[in-house]
Amino acid sequence: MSARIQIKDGAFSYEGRMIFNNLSVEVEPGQVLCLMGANGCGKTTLLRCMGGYLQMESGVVLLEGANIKNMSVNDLAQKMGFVFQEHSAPFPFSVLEVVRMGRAPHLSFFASPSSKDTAIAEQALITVGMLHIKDKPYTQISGGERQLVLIARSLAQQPSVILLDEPTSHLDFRNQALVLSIIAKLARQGISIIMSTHMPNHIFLLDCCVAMMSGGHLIAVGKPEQVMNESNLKAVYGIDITIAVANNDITGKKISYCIPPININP
Amino acid sequence: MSKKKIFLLVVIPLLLAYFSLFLGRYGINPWTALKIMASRIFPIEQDWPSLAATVIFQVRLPRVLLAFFVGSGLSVSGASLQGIFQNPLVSPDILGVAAASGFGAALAILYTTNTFIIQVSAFAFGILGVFLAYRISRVYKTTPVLMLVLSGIVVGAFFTALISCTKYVADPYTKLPAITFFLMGSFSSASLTNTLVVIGVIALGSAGLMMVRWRLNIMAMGDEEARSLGIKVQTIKIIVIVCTTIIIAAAVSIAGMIGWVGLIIPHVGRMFVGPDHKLLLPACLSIGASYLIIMDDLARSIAPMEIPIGILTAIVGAPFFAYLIRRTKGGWR
Repeated sequence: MSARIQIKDGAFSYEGRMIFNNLSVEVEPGQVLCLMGANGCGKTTLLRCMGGYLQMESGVVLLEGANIKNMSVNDLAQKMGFVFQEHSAPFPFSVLEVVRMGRAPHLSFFASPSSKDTAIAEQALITVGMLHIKDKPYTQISGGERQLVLIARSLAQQPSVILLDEPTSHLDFRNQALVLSIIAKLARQGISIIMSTHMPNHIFLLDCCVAMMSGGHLIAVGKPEQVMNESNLKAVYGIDITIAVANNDITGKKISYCIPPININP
Repeated sequence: MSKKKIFLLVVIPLLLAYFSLFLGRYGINPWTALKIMASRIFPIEQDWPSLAATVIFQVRLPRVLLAFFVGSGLSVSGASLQGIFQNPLVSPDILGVAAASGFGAALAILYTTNTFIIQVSAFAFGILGVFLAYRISRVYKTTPVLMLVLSGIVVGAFFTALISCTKYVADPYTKLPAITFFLMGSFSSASLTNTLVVIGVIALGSAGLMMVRWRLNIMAMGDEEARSLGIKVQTIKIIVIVCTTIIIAAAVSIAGMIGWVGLIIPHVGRMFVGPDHKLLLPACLSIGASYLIIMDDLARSIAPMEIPIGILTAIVGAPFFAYLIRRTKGGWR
């Protein structure tokens, strides 16, 4: 199976400071890749390079084998969705209208969405379980609902890859679980997902691949159970993290989780 | 949108335009006004004084048409700019076009009394002003919203200062009042020929904005969001800036500076049809036209002497805006 999206020998620096260097990673259809790393380690920069928002200094991003540098903004949006961190709109568009915006890459320049596009948008809202709020103003829904609506909008693009920048930050416990469930569901449908996260425990919850980023390199890439060990976590966060294993009574499987120390000196 | 709202939005401006034709010192009754206009198309025997026809075709019709188009043009410009600037407080003056056009007119008034030259100068300087603002704001190949706003302020302030310069050097008995009255705004210089040119330009700009109006929704979500949805952000920005600039420059060139319309009417439109630009822009066309026709009717009928319309729109507009910000408590949500 060939990679759906891959980054080859990527390098990026900002005002002379190296952010990442010589970085390669690939994601297959239906696979979830979690990017983890300390604040400021370059996770978001890497995501933005993969989304085509930033130009890498060297290296290429290949989407279904094609260099994204040679793709138009529109072609890229037909294949790749991007869910940004935190978003607010100045105008109270309805939720359905916001999701319908995801149809833009499939419409000609002066066209606006047809009833077919509306049906696709409603289907996307059904997938994330948010159809019941379709007429509410986007500005008045909760943070969790907003995140799911933005995921629905990227689904309306009918992409093969969705990039998410910290999709679970700012969400309450239930909504974190909800967003992770939806992400797992989308992966089962064959969409490749790349997400950055600050929550190591979320990575253990997902059936995914994790890329641990530190010092501008991926120090480990692989299944969470294999690479998320105490020494790698120490390398990423610089603290002694204990990994414990518990039985999940609901699934009957064992699940690992991280316990941070709380006597750290700044 | 309900059928009733569409009906109202279509009918009200047309009715207002019609009523405005027989409003004024020279009385013409509604039936005669209708017959006079129809006589251009159908063979109707003339049973009215020729003066009545002259008043309608040379004075009132151009003026009503002008108020109609300037009102709708300024309003769709305001709504579109609020969309690409992602901010409901943006007015059409944001890029300095009104100040630049005003300077163009003032400068021409210093040297000539030829209306055509004054108009061309106002239009040309309006375009120049926005071109400057756009160039100043360009960072790499993009024009970030904040940069556009700041360079618009710079250009606006610069041309406002130049307007003061022209006033300072103008002959205080002839030129200075001419400049001052021109800038206060009025539709009194409307003649059939210059009106038709201005209407053409405004219609062209408005048509351009109408064509991208659904994409304005996406632009209002932010530049990067829009890009992630496959929108060519810079292309849409340029289309909107070019279309609004020609509309505003054309409006200022014939009618002077008419403030507040482009800021307030989009808000009224949102109260009426909601924030979706697909409905909002057509609604703005109608509401803006109706508003400016009413204002012009007031300008020429409430006092023995005509009141500059720019003063009226501000006197009505400012309190209305105060009411709006009180009502929404600054939230616009």
